[in-house]
Amino acid sequence: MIFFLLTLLGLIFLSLIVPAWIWLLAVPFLSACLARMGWKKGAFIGAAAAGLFWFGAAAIAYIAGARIVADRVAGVFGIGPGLVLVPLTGFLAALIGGISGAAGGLVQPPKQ
Amino acid sequence: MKPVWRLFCAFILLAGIFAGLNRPISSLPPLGTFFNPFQGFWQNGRQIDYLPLQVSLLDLQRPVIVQWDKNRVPHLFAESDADLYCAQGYLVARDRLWQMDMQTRAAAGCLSQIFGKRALEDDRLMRRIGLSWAAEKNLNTIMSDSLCRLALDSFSRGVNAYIDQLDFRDFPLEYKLLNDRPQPWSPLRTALLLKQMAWYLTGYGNHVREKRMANVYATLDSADIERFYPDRPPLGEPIVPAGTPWRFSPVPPRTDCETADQPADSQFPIRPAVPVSNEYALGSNNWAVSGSRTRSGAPILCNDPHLGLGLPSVWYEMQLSSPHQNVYGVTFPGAPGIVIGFTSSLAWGVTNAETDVADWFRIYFTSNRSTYRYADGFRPVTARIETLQVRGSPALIDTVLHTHHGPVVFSRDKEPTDSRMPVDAALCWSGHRASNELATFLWLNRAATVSEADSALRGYVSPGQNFILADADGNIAIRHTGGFPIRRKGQGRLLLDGSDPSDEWSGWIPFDHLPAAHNPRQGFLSSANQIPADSTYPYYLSGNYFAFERGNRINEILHRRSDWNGLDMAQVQRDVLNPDVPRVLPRLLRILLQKGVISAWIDTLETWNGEYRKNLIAPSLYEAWWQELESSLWENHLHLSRTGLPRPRWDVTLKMLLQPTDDPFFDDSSTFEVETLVHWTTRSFERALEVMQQQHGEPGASWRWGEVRKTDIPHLLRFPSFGRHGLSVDGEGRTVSAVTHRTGPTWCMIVELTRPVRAWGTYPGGQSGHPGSLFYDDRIDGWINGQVEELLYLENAGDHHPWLIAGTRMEAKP
Repeated sequence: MIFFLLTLLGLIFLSLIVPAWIWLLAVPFLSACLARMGWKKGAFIGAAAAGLFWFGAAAIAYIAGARIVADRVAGVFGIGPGLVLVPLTGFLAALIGGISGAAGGLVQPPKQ
Repeated sequence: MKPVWRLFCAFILLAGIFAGLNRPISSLPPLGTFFNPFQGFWQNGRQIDYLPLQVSLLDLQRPVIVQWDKNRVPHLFAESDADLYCAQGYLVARDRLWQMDMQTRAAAGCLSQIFGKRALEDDRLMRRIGLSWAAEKNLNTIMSDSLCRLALDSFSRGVNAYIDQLDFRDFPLEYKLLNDRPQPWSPLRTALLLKQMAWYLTGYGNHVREKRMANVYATLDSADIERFYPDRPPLGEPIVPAGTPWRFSPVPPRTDCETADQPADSQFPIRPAVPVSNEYALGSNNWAVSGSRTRSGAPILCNDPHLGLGLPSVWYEMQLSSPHQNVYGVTFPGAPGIVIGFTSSLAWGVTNAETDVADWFRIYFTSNRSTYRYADGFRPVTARIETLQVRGSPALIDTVLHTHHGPVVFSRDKEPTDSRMPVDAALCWSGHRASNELATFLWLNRAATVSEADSALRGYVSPGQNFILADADGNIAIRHTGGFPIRRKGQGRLLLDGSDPSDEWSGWIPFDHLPAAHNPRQGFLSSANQIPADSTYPYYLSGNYFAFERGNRINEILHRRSDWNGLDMAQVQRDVLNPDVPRVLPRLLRILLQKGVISAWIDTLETWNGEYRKNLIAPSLYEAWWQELESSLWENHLHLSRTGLPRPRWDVTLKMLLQPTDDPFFDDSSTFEVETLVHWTTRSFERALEVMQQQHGEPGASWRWGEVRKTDIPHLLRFPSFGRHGLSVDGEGRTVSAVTHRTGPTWCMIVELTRPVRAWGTYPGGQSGHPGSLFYDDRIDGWINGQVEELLYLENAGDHHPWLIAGTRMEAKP
C-alpha cells in the first residue's frame, strides 16, 4: 500500500510541476526499481497508481466542464458518449504505468 | 540475464512506448499527450468560457475596457485606434485562433505542412491561381496607407501577444488533434484572408464559365445560345431601379466588335462534360427602406449574407469604440475593424456582386516556354517558384509561369488539379490587381453619413459587392462596387486570345460610372445578387447573376407597406415563399387534371401557397417534380449527357415552361409522335412520386421538406461531432431565406437608424471557436427558428445594462 501511495503521490506532485505524460513512464519504473517489487507487483502498482491518477483527473475535468469537449472528441474516435473517455484515459495510463512498473521490477528483481 | 542487459531491455521498451505515444500514428494524434488530463483535450473544456477580469498586454499604451454581453459579444472601449485594434486582435485570437490560422494557411497554400500529401493539390491550386502573389501585392498597397498600417500592425501584435502566452495545454483543441501549433500572425496573413474571401466570392461559376460556354458555342447556333444560355437573366428586376438615368459619358471598350459568336478555341478541350451542380449559387440579401416607409420615420437597413455554413462561425461579432469611431457589427476573424455593421448614425451591408471579373487568356508559348506571343512580337515569361512543405515528405517545388495577363494556372505539361480550368491559359482576375479593400472597411467604421460612406467605397476593388447604405439623416443608397473591367459585348464568355492586344480588357469602369442609386422615389433599395442594372446601362456587365426570385420577392414585400419597423423586417428575412411556384405550379397542375391524372398529392400541391416550411410535404413533392421535369426537358432537347452541355439556368427552364404547351421545344425529335408539355408534365410527375418513394420511403413524416432537404453546418475539419448535421430548416435556395444543404444566411442584421440606433441580429453558430465551449454553437437553434436578438450598442465604456455579464480591463504590461 505504501508503495502504491508513494507512486501515486509522486505522479501527482511531478505532474503538477510539469504536466507531461512521461511521468507515467518514469515514476512507476523508478518506484518498482527502487523498491525491488518484482515485475508482477511493479506492474500492478504502476498500473493502479497511474490508472487511478489519470482516471481521477479526467473525471474531475469531465465534471468541471469538459463534458462537451469529451463528447465531441469521442465522436471523432467513434466511441460513443464522452463519458467513455474517462475510463479510457484511466486505462491508457494504467497500461503505460503497468508496463513501466513491470520494466522497473525486471531491472531490479526482489531480493531472495 | 545480467542487470545491465535488463536495464537495456527496459530502456528500449520504455523508449518504444514513449516514441509510440508521443507521435501521431496514422491520423491519430500523439495519444500520450492528447489524453494527458493536464495537457491534452481535457484542458479544452469550459475554462475558455471564463472571462478574465484583467489582461496585461505589452503593446497597449492606455487601458482598454471590455464589456461582455449575454451572447459573449465583446464591446471594446479604447483611447486610441492602435490600442483598439491591438485589443481586437487579442480577443479575436482568444476565441478564434485556430480558425484564422487555418484559413490563412489554406489561402497561402500551406495545408500540406499539416495534412501531408492529401492537401497537396489544394495547396497547388492556391499557389497557381496566384493568391499569395496577389496578397503580397495588396499588402504593399495596404501598408502605404497610414490608417491601414496602424490597424494591421496593432492587430497582429494583439494576436501574437495572445499566441505568445499560450502553453501547449491552452492550444485550441484542433491543434492537439492535428499535432500542430499556432503560427505567428502578420499583416500578410490578413491580406491572405481577404484575398481568399475575394476568390471565394468571385464565384466558381465565373471561374469556369469559359470552359462551360466553349461546349455551348461549339454545339449550338446563335439563336439557341441566346435562348438557352442568355447573357442576361431572362426575368426579374435589376438592383438599380429601372429607368434610373445614367449621368456620365461611358468609356468605350478597346474595340466594339462582338465576340458572342466566336467559335471555341480549338486548343480548348471541350469534352469531357463539365459537371453540373444542382446546388444553387451562394446568395445574399440587403435592403434599405427610407423614413417615408417606416413607422419611426428613420431608415431601416437589413443584410443577410449567405455563405457556406460552417463552424467555427464565419463571423465574429463585436463593438469597437475609440475617439474616432463607435461601430458594431461582424468581422472576419483575422481582419481588423468591422466588415458589416453600423455606427450611431450609419448602417451598411453587402451582397455579392456576381459580375464576372475573371477571364482566361490562351497563351502561345515559344518552344522553351520562356516567352509567349503578343501582338507582333514576344514577351518574356516570369517564373515564380513556389515551395510546398509537405509533412512526412520532401518539399515540392512548383514553378508558376506569369504573363502580363496573370499566372498560367495549369500548363500543358502538368495534370490540372481542376479539370474545369483550361490549360496553357492565363488567369486575369481583378483580385490580382493591387488594391486596398481594408481601407474601405476601416473608413466605413468611422463614417457618419451615406455621403462619407460612399467616399469610403472609392478604391474598393475585389470581391465586387453591392454596398447598401442608410443614415440617420434619412438617406439610402446602393452601389454595385468593385473593379469591373470594361469589356466589349460578349467578351469573356469564351477563352480570349492572349496574343491579341484587342482581346485585353479596356481598363476599369470608373467609380462614378458604377450602377448606383440614391434616395429613389420608390422609397427603398434592395439587392439579392441579381443583375445590377437594366439594358440601358452603357457598360457591358456579365456574370453568374442570381435569378429573379429573391430580388422580386423582396421588392414586392417592401412595396406593400409604408409603416415598417425594425422587427417586422425579421419576418421579411425569414420569408420562404418561392415566387416560381405561383407562376408555374397552377399551370402544371391544370395539365395533370386535364389529362385525368388522379393522385391525392394533387390536392396537397393545389392548397400549397409556395412556402418552403420544414413540416410541409408539398415543397418536397414540387422539388422532386421540378428536378424530373427540368432534367427530362433538357435531356430531350439538348442531350446533355451526350453533348456535355451545361444544364441551362433554372429561370430559363421556367421561361420555357411558360411557353405554349405545343411549342416545338417540347417535341422529342426521336419519336414519330409530337410531344407537348403535357407529355413531360405527366411523365415527370409520376416519376417524381416514384423517386420520392425510392429515396424517402412510404409517404409520411419522412417526406416533409425538413427531412428531405437537411441542412448541415460542418466544422472546418469535417469531423461530424464538431458540426451540426441533419438540421431541419425552413427555406430553399430561391427563397429570401435562402437555406440549402450547405449554405444559408450567415449573419442576419436589421438596423433602425433612430436616435439612439436600434439593431437586431443573429448568426448560425456562436462567438467561441472552441468546440468545448458553451458558446460554440449556442445560437444555432435560435437561427433555425428565425429568432433575432436585439444588439446592444453601448455609447460609453461605463454604460450599465442588464445584458452585460462581465467586464475585462486590458492594461499595459508594466
